Amino acid sequence: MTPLRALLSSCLILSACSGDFSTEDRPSPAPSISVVENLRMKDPAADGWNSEVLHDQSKKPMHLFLDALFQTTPLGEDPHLPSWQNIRVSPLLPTGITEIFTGEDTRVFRGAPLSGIFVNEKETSQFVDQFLEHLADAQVERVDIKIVGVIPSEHGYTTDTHVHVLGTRSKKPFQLTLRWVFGWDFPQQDQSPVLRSISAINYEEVLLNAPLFAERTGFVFARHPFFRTEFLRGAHEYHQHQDRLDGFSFMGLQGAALGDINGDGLEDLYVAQGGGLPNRLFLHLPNGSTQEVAQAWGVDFLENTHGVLLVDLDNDGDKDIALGMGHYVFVGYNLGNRFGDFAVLAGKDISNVHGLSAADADLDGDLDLYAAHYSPSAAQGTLSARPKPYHDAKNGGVNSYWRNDGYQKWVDATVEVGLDADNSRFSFSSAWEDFDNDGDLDLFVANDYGRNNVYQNDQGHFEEIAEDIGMEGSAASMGMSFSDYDLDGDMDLYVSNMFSSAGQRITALGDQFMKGKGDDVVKHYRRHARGNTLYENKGDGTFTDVTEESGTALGRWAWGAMFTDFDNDGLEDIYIPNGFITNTDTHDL
Amino acid sequence: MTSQSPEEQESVNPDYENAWQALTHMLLKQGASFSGRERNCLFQNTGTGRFANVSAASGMDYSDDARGAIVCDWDGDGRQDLIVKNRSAPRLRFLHNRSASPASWIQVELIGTQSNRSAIGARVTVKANGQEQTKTVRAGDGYLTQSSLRLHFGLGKRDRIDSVKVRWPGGAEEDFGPLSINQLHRCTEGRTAQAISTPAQAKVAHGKHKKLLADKTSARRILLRSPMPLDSLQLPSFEKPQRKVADLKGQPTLVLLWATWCASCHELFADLLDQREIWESLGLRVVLMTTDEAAKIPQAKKEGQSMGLLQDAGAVSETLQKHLSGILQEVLGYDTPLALPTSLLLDASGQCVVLYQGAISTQTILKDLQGIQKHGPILKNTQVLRKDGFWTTQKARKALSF
Repeated sequence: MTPLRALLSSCLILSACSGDFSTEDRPSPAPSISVVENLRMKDPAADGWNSEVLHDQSKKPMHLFLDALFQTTPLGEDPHLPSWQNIRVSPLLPTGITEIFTGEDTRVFRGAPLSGIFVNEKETSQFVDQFLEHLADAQVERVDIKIVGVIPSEHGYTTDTHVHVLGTRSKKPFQLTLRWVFGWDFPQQDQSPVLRSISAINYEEVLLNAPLFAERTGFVFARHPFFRTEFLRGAHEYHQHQDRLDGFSFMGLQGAALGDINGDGLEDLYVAQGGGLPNRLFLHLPNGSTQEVAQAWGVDFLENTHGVLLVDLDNDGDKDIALGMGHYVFVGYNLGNRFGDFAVLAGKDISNVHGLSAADADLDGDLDLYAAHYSPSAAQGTLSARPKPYHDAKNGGVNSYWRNDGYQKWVDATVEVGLDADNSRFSFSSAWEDFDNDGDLDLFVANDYGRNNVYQNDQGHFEEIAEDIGMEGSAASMGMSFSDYDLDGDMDLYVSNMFSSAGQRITALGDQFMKGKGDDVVKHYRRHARGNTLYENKGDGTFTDVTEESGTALGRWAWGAMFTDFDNDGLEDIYIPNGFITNTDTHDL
Repeated sequence: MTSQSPEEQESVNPDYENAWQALTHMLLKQGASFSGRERNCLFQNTGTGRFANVSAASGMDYSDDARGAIVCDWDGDGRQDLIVKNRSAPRLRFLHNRSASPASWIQVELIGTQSNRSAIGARVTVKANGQEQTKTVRAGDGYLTQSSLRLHFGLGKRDRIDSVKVRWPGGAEEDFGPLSINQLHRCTEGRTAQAISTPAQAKVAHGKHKKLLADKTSARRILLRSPMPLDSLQLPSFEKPQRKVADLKGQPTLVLLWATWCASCHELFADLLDQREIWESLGLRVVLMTTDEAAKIPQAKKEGQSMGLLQDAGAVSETLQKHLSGILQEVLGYDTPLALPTSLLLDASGQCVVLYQGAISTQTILKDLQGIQKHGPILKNTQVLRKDGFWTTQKARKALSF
C-alpha cells in the first residue's frame, strides 16, 4: 500500500528509476539556422520541384473558378467564370445516378464510373449545363480542394484534385465528393495559369437528414475552471511558454482511456497530457457531466504521458491503470478510492514509451502489456534519432512485452516470446486481435517511417509475418482499428497513415524525385505519402489491400481512425481524426 | 527533405540532418503549417465493401489537428459518441451522437472469471434475425486510446436477438441466448446474463453548457521545473554599477524588465503599486531594470523615482541583454527576442523560480511569493508552487555561467 509519492521519493535513489524523462522533440538550445537556409528550403523552386510551384500558382485560380461555378459567391457578372468555349470538359455527371445506399440518416448517390475522356468540344457546355441543372436546388456553402498530383506536359500541366463541395439541399446537409483533373496552360510572366480542361473521374453525392454529431464539450468537460486555460490552448502555444525541462512536446501526442474506476457503472475518462500539465481524471457523474479527481486518485502526473489503459490487471474486479510515461511503463493498482502500489517497468532500452495495449497473450488468465517505444534511446544521441533510411527505418526504439506474473510482478519477456524480431522501428501504437481465427491473440504494431509489424501468436510464441500475409506496405503509420466491416466473420483492419498531398505530388514525378535510386525506392516513397490502408481479411489470415476500391484512401494525415457504427445500421463506419501541424501560416509545407 | 535520406542507417547526410533541423525550426519558430487545417473525416459504410464520404455533411469535419479518439456510449442513449483528443485547441472534444435513426441496438459488457476479468480478447457474435455480427473486446487501439470495453452492436431494423455467443480468451465458448434489444447486458463467464441500467443523462444532449471561449490572456507564468541559480549574474543598478544577483540575497526579489515606451509595463506597474503593502509585508524587493536607450534613461529614472522604486533600479547593459537572452533560451529551448515586460521571481538565495511574460497580475506574483515564503527561503523544488500535478522525478538544471 505504498502511495506513489512516497514510493517515488525512494525511487529517486534507486538506479532503476533514476533515468531522465525525455524532453522529446524539444531541442536543447540548438544552433540557430539562418533565415536564408530556411527560405531556400521552403521555396520549392530552389529544390527544383516545379510541381510545387505550379501547385501554388494553380490554387488561387482554381478556388476562384470553383467558387464561381458553385456560386458560393453571389453570382452576378463574375469575372472569374471563364467562357466554356475555351475549356474542354469531360462528362461531369455520371449516367444513371441512383441511390445506392439508404440509411435512416444518410442517403448516398452514385452513377456509372466517369470516363474522364473528352468527347468533343461542342459538348462541353452541355456537360456543364447538365451538371448545374442537377445541382439547381443546392445551396453551396463551401468548396474544399486538395491537389494530389501535378503532371507537366509539353504546353501545360494537369492538377489531379479532390474537390469537396458542402452545402444544403432543401435545408438538409449535402455533400459532393468529386475528383477532377484540371488542365492548365503554363502561366505567362506574373499571370495566373489559364484553365484549359476539366476531366472528371469521380462523383459521389450524399444527403443527410441533419448533422450527425453535436459538440457537447461545453457540458461534459468545460465547466472545470482549468478547462479554459488548459484545454482551450493548443499544444503549440503551450510549447512556447513552458520550461524546456518540462518536456512538453508541440506534437500533441497524448492519449486517453475510458474505464469505470469507481464501480458505479459509469465509464470515467483519464486524459494524458504533455510534460508540465497534470494528467486529468474525469469521474463520470450520473447527470453526464464530470468531476476532476486526478489528484485525489494519485495520478495527476506532470511527466509527458503517451498511452494509457484502464483495465483490471490483478483480477480483483476493479480497473487498474497503466501509463506510458517518459521512458517507463507505470502500473498502478486500484485501491478503492485511489491508485497506488505502483510498479515502474523499465525496459532494456531507455527510450520513450508511446502506445500501450493489453491482452492475455499467454492465456494464463491475467493481462499482459505491450509497450511501443518510438524514438531510439537517448544513449544513441540526437543525430542517429533521424529515421534512416526514411522509408524503411529500423533505428527507432525497442518495444517491450511485459508478462504479468502477479501483483506488482512484471517480467520483460520480449525476447523469450519472440517479439524481438524486427523490433527497432519507430513504433507509435499496437493492438491485439485474433486475425487468423485460431483462438489466441495476434499483435499488430503501427510504425512510422516504414512497414508495420504483425506478430502471429502460436501458443505463446510469436513470429513476425507481416510480409507473408500481405501487409508489407510501407507507410508512416500512427494507429489502427480492427473490425469485421464486411460481416464475413473475420477481422479486417484500417491503418491510419500519413497522407501528404505534397508527397503525392512530388513522388508522382518519378524522373525527378530520387533520380537514379531505382523504381523500387520511389515506389516506397509514393506509397508512403498515399494515406490510410484498409486491409480486408481473406478469411485464411491473409489480407488484401482494398483501400482504393473501398473509397477510404483520402483520410488525410490520420492518427487514430476508429471503426464505429454511428447510425446503428449494423455496418461499421469509420471516423478519422487527422491533421498534423496547424500553425499561424496558412501556407502549408 | 525526404529526398535527402541516406539509404544506410549508419551514413550521415548533412543535408538530411539540416533539413530535419530546419523543419523543426520552421514549425516551431516561423509559424509554418504542415498538413494543417486538415478536415477530420467520417466515412459511411454503404454495405458493399465501399464507403461514402460524409465528413462535411455530418458536421464532423473539424479542422483540428486531431490525434486519438475514444468510442463509447457516454450517455447511455444507445448511440456511439466520440471523445477526441486534439493537438490544437480545444484539445479535448466531446461529440454527441445525434443520429435520428430509430434503429435498435444491444450492448454487452463482459466479465471473465476463468479468463482475465476485463475479458480483453473475448469475441462476441450477436445473431439478430438470422444475421451475425462479431466484435472483440480490446484495450488499446486507434492512436494511444482505450475505448469503451462495452461492445455495441447496431441492429438496424432487426428486432430479435437469436443468440449472443462469447468466445472467451483461450477458446471456451458460451451462448448467453436471446437477450433483449435496446439494452446493456452484463455477461459474466459461466453465469446468466444480467440487464444493466445506467442513469438517464438527458442533460448531455440538452443541458446548459459553457461556451468554448479561448483564453486570450497573453500574460504567461512560466514555473521553472527546477530553480536556476543566478548568483553571478551582473545586475547593475544606477547606484551600484557592480551589483550582482548575489548582492540581493536574503529576501525574495522580482526583477522587472521594462521600458518607458512599453504600455503593458505600465499596466503591470499600476497593479503592482496598488498592492504594495502586501508584497512589502511579504519581504519582496522589486528591481526595475529598464531597457531604454541612453537618451531615455533620465525619464526612466524619473518614473522609478515617482514609483518609489528608484533605489534598486538600473538599466540593462549590452552584456546583461546577452545574459538575459541566454536565460530565456535555457528556459524556453529556443532563442527569442526579449519581450517586455518580462519579470523574474528570485527566491532569497538568488535562484530564479518563476518567469513571467507580459502584464502578469500582481495576484499571480503574490501567490508565488507566498509559496516561496511558506516553503523557503531557499526553494529546492518548485513543485511546492504548483496548484495541481506532481513530478515523479526531479530534474537538475545546468548552471549558467555569466
